Amino acid sequence: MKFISLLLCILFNSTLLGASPQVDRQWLNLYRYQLDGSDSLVTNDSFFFHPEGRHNPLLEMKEAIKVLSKDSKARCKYPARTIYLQKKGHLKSFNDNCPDYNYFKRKLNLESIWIVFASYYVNNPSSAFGHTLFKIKGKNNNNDFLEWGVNFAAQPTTDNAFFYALLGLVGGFKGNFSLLPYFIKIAEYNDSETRDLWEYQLDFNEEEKELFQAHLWEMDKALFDYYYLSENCSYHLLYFLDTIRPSLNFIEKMPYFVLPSETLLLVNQADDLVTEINQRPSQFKRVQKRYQNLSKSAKEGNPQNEQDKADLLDYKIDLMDLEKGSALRRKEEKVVKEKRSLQAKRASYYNYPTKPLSFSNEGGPHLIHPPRYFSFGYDHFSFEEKDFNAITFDYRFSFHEYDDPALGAPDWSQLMLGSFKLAYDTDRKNLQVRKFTLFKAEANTANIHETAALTWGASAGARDNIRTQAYDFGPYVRSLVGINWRSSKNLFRVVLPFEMDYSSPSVKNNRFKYSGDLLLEAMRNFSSHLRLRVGLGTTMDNYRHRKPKLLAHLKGQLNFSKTAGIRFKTQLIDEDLQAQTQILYSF
Amino acid sequence: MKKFLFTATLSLLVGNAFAAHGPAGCGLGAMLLKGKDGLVMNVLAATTNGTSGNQTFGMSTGTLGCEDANKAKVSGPAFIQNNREKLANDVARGQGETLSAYLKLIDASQTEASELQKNFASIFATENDANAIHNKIVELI
Repeated sequence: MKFISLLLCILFNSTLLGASPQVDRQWLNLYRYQLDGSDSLVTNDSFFFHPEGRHNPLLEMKEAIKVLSKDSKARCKYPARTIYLQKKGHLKSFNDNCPDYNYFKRKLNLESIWIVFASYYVNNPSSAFGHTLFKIKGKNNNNDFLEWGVNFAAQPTTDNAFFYALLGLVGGFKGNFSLLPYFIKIAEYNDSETRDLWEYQLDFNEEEKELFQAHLWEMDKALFDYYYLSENCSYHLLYFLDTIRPSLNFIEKMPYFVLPSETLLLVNQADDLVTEINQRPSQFKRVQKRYQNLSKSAKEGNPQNEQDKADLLDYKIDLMDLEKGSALRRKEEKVVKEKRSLQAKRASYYNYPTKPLSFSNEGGPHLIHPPRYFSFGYDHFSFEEKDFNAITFDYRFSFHEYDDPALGAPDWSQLMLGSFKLAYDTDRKNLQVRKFTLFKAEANTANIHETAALTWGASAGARDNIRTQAYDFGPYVRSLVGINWRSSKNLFRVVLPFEMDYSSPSVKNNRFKYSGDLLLEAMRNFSSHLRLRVGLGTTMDNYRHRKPKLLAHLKGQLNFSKTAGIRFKTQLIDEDLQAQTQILYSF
Repeated sequence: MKKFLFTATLSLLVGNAFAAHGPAGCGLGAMLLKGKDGLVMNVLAATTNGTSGNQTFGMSTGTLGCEDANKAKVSGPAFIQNNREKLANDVARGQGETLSAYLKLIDASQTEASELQKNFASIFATENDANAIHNKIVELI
């Protein structure tokens, strides 16, 4: 309603008064007015010139013209509004001296703007959603430690984990933009959390860059409500880009819940926006590379020559940063001493330079498949007693499972939030909810020396347990521990999955059902479009296979493109066969 | 809530797989989550876009002890305070991105790198305080 009156207002003004102020998309974006005509997302009244400014873009524009035409202090405070209104012919040009803003511009020394994605950490799938920020590269500078970062984050007001999560979900924190040295972000993501930073240069022209820093200056004065699933860092970064170049129109292309990885998909899909891609590998990867670069004898702790000794010290120093990082940050005396003595030794080999580490920029996170999918499929379950056939429908909210295309995705791990499965039993003619997954997380972790490493997993939800052959939908939990040996193409693992189901007393089987497996599994990426998993093991439960039975499975997915594929699962336990096929579409 | 249960469960299961979180800033403002090394907090920070540990620099003019206002750049001691370990590594190696940035910040020549390497022990052996390290380096150059 408000939007209609606003529209009428604009029409009225433009037809009767000719060159009167008109609200357009860029004006709306500068203030974060919502496209549906509701209030600006900025919550502090001080951000607006007019008392009704938060609700009324046109009133605000008129007031802005009035104030900015005569108040140079206001123009220094709101340079982006000034630039915009000058471009539209509502303000003349001025010769303002803005010391604070000039200092700010001198500090930024802006040459190019990059959007940065803090990516996956192999040992922690919960980092998979990632974080996004801007990097501002200075003129005549090619050292990240001298650049600036622009971050959008919440200002937490509690240190209680429960309230922290709750308030983050419901918009209980204020969010704002901040400018900080990029090295703080390197320390936080690259080192502390040992995540890769992927940087994408944005192709803005001089005029757009001028507007970018002017708008950033204004955003310093804006407070928002922070919703970490929807109006989060990614949302605000994309909205920022829309303000600089309204034709990008990310705001309308974004899904309601924005995953940071999706920002990258959008930014990279936009025409002529990303010009260069760069990676800053995580601390883990850097240490691993140092280890790989060692000579065989150095790896065995027995360096043969001076260069070997220097290389080994370089590796040990970096390893300490990785393993003792928090003790070093806390300046624990014993640890600092140990490291300083390694470094002093290293410094004595001054004729032997440190080997550079090189990494490929291939397979960045912008190449990942879309996070959601739906699928149609067919299930055939054959038990000694009876058969089940069903047409199935699946939906997944996010994010990545083993069988999805591997390109750009976290290596050998899966993280799924929210999925369900409906099945229509073609023999018994009934429709059932078969499965609801709250979450499923699994990681085959890596270690520096590329020896056996921990595998772990956990999932929970509600489901119909197939093995009982009766519809017994109820909550379940599943956990898994084991060890793995992995390379980029192959993974072999020994795991112990354990599952527990609970179903209502009306079902004649045990109310609590347990099952445990011992499983050897091999997985292989044949290409980024085909992955197969085979498993062999034994299983036992307290309701059907009360003695250990042989278990074998074959699972995999063939992808025709990044968005379409066929997934199949076949599992044999004793004489029970479960075969499932799905045709998937990701979006 | 879903997310909380999820992260809580994960943190119970995974133990030390998660790295400690949150670097020291420039000594500004009391951040509530700073110094909280608890697992739940770390995982939450990792999943909620890392809302903890961010030290905002005054976007306005505020130098907040981190900037050299004359040069509109981060000051030498503030740089060391935030990059102490990486700088020490680079000095020990006589080269590196952190050392190169630091030398540029303090308007020193890049050729000083090897000189500093030879003096590693006298710069870092006894001192951990950023100001002391900075003064020692300036003295040597």
